[in-house]
Amino acid sequence: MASHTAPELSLPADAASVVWRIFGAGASPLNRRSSYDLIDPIIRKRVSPAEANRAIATIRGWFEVHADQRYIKTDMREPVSALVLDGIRTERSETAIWAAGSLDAERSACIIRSGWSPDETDSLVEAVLETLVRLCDSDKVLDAVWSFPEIDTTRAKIPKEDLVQKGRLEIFRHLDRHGFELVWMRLHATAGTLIDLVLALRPGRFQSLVKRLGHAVTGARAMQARVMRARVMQARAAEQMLSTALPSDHRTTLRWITNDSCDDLIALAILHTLETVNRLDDEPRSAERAVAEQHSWSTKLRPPRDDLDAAAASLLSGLVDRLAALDPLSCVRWIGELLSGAPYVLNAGHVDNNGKPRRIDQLERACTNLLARMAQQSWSDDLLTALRAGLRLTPRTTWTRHLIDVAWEIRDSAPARAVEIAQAMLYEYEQHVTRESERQKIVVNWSDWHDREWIDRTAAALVLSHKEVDVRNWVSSRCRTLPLSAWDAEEDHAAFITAERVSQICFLIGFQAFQVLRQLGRSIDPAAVRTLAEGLWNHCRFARRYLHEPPETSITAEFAAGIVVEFGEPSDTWLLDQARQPGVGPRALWAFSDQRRLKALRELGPDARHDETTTAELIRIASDRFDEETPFNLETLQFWGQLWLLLGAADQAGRTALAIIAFPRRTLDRTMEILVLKLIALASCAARPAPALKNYFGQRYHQLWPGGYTPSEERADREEVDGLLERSEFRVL
Amino acid sequence: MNFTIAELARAVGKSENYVRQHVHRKHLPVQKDGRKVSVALDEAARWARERGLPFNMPARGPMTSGVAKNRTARMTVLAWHTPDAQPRNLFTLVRHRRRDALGPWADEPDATWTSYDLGKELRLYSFDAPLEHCQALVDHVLDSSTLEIDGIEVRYVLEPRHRHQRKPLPRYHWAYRYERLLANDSIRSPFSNHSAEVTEYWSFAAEPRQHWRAKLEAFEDEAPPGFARLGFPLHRRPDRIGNLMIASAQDAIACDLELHHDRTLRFHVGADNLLPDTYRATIWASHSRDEVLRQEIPVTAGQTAIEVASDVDHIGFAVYRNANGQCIDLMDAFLMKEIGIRMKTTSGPTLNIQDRRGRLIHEVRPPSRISTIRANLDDAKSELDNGIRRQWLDRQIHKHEAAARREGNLWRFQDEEFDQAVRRFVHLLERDADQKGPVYLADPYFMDYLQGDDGTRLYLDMFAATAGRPLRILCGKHTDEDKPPWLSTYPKHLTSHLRIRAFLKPGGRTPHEFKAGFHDRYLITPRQEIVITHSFSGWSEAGVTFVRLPYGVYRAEAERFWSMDVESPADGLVIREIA
Repeated sequence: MASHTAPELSLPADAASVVWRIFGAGASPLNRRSSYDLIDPIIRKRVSPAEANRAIATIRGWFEVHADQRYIKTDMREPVSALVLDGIRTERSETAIWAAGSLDAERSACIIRSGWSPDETDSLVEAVLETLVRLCDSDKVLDAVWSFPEIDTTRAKIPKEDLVQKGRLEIFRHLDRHGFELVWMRLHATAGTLIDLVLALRPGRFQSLVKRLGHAVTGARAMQARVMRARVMQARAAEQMLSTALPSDHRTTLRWITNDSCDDLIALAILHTLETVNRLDDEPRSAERAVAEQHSWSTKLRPPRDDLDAAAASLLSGLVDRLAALDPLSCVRWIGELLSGAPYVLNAGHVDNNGKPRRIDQLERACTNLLARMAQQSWSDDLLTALRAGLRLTPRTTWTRHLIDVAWEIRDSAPARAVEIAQAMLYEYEQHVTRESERQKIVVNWSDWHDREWIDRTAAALVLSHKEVDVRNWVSSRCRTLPLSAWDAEEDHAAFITAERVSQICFLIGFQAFQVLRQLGRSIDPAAVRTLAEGLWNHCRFARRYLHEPPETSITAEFAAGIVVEFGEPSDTWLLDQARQPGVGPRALWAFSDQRRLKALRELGPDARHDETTTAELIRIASDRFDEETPFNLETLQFWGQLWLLLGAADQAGRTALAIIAFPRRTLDRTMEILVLKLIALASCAARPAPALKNYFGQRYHQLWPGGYTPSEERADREEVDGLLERSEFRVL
Repeated sequence: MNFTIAELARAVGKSENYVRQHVHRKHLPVQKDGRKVSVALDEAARWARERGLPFNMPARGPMTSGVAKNRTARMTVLAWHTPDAQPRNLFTLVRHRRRDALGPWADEPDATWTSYDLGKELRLYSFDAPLEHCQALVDHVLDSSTLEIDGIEVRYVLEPRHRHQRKPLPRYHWAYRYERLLANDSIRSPFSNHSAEVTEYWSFAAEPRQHWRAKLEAFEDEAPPGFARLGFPLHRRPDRIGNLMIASAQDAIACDLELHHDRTLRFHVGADNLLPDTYRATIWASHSRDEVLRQEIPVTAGQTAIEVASDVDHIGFAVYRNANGQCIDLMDAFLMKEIGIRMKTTSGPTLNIQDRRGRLIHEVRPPSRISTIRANLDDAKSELDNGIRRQWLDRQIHKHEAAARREGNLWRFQDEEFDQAVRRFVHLLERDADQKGPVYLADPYFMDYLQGDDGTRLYLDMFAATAGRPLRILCGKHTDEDKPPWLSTYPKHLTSHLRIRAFLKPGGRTPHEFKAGFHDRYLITPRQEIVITHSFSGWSEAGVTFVRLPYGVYRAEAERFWSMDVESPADGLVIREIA
């Protein structure tokens, strides 16, 4: 090789033989001087004085300057690479490996493949692997090579405690999401090139590379900085591997999961499989963008040739199948880690009616099925412990729902085990609530599907745990253990507020339990449902004296009202009695009426009619309550408004619209604006609207829907407004 | 309920003559029935409140056992446990309320003691039981001066009313929900929604008081964690150390007053089986301290709407029991002004940073140079409200200034009031003429001669007023040494008691130039210390204010300056004797 490159470089032979040392020393992460700066000292040390000056001048001539940095000229890269590789062909010192890392990996791989023997190549690859493992000990490997101020470096860093407490999947996810700078820029260029070179020369050594880097930092004594360096290099290797393999085979990552694979490799496989699912889901959009931007990277699949949707679903089930092939303990731990980590990786994308992303639902079903099979065949405490360990690796506290899913799945095939798991999870719920109450952190966000499912599944655990469940007794016994007395409100108000939130959760679980009972086909005592609702109103009436936010405006009130109508067989008299209770707020009143309407529609069809006497009485009672309410808040006004629309109470609708408009200095969102328009339109059906309302209506109607344009999601609202206007004798618009 | 003059005098702890004077000056409206003069309860309460007088209602007997039925009580004891000594009571509170007011989740009281270790030898015990049970414990304490808690005897030292009596006697008073209307020695109700009738047994023992102070220091004046369970802020009320207090929630009715959005006050009364004419209430409201409503209404269960004709920023009510005129609930609150703030940040285009696969890895939204923040105060009415508030603030300034002037602490003169300012200044100098100590006057610009008749008059009056006493003037400006100071133009016998020193520090425009070594202006006489806001030269341009301070800070500073050696640098200062 040297014979045809050396003459082109016009370098004396003894100088040509040390060129690799210049590039090796310059590329070393341990050396701060550049190759260009090292030309002079290295040549003078190793080349005769007579030749030195010419050699120095010649080598310097290979470089050009860009923005104060010196680079090898484009046309010199090929011969210089050949010269350097020729120099290290039999050399395996650390400097020789740095020299290999100073070159472009792809070009080096090309030269080596064309001229080196397989033994020489294997020997170099082995030496590079050893060097990379040693690099984990060097604090230079993640040095800042250059700054990139647009990237938030603080986000890229993984907190020390996370390295210890979080799972590998979570760490690689963090690197994947926020660690672009670490993996691609802050990782020393030589280390990155060496990784690329190994994978270009021997792609089959990828698993070995990941494993050896992982081994280098296993054990309790491994310092966190070393772990970090190893993880970054592993992530880089995986990304490099995928950049070549994935376009030709989108299921590549699944093959990384075998019984021989190390944990790091499995974590990388899971992460990149989920990422591939995201890309498949994004493919139609990416394809459009690629056409526009000449962007070429994607999987081999293209719409409409392949069924991208089926491919993504199959990838998810394939992932679970591959994990199922691992030994049972590893399998359940990884399934746990996958279930807890996947919502952070998979795109929300399409969601189902419950707001749950479709892919997560598919993945959870596959995992639950696998766990259910295991639970029926070979369940043990160790498996349960391993599954919990995997599930608890993210901060989310709703993990118990996955185990309850398993219990639910096996409730018929292995009822004793289902009860055992459900009871354990109900106990876990109690522990969780106690822990979070002590920290005063407990909160349920009803708009988050995780929390909704957690409530639903905990209710399932409650039902599965008992042959005959007394829901009211369960809720009541939980509330009695909470600091919810007047003494508590006066002595420790913060604890009282937390306890009140816990009690709302208990009620939610209680009412949800009736839904679960219905799903199981078990009988529901309507009186029990009504009694539980009355318990909630009593609680609200008491607690509102000590709370800033009235508890009757919570989601629990709405949920309770809906369940009572569905399962409580409430008579009109009972409903009217409840409507008079101070603990029943406008949200529950609206939910009562709305659920009655929906139920009647479902059972009796579109011709269903309510008893007009009951409706009139309900309007009268609600109207009195509305008049007495003080002070208003925007949320309660919204539910009052919805109630009047439902009941067709025109006068009250007008007064509510006025109250919303007059609400001090609050910007209304579109939903509230539309509600006000509906209320004014309804009010105008009965009487001439006040000038203030008329002006407001005209102005906002045209602002919301200018020039006749209506966003698709608001068309039904507009039709409703227009329909009311048509019924009105008075001109509003 | 009406008070006679004698009753009212006793209630506020003043003489009858004092009350009559206020009636005579029409500060206190009275009702006349022939020769009989009386004052309505709410008027008397308002009058006492405005003057910061204590207002103690006539003492009443303790609760009868019949009323105690269906009431639940919580007894809390804060005890001091020292090694090798009997635990001592630091404070005991028995609170009781209607059983059904505890909430739907409260179980029957279990009558067992719960103990909390607060650290530093303090232990808190809590006991829930029917009221009768707690009353029995209280009776035991009163009989034996001890309370047994799970085998531990806690010792009480409660005061009998007379020396020859053994058994402690109670004091009765009322505790309301709102502190603002209370006299200094009153306490706030331990119930958040009700006032309380309080029976209190006092302890004057010194030892626990001293011990409690030491504990508070150890807790850095904060209540120890878990202390809230005691139900009484003992860390703020150390006068109650060692006491035994029984608080009965006045929960036969629950009242509340709210301002409704349609300019009505809604008076809510929650009560079961409320007999008519049992109570009456006085409702009041004001705007910018102008009373816009004061109305007496009968108390009926449910809601009573009262229209108000104007905006309102302050509301309150008092509920009286008709049978004896006792005020059983009181509320007085300033309403919060709604303030709306709208913030708008205009952003520039979003910068998307993508990795080499085209994945979006970061979004940057650089803010534009324009950010707008708009604050709206009461929208259209803001001008009116601001105007009212300005007037109110103006009144406040005059009121406070008048009070400070009355107390001899502040004198303020505008620029056109130069003569009055000089007269006040000379008067201040003359005040301590009988004292022989030196008078210090510090003014960095004293050596800037005040020209004209004004200046001459000021200097002559000042020298004459201090004659016979050393007048030491500290200034901060060095005069031309070649020229005699302006002082030499005055007769020597007038200035012989006068010494002037300049206190300078380097820092002029050149290294050899000096600037004043101090900046405050003040006058120190043997008995007072007065800050002067301007040098003499500025009085006729911007006016001047004299403020008397009680701290002695400037006296110490003046004496320290004067004790420094002349011509020898000290603390970076150069001192020159001028005259």
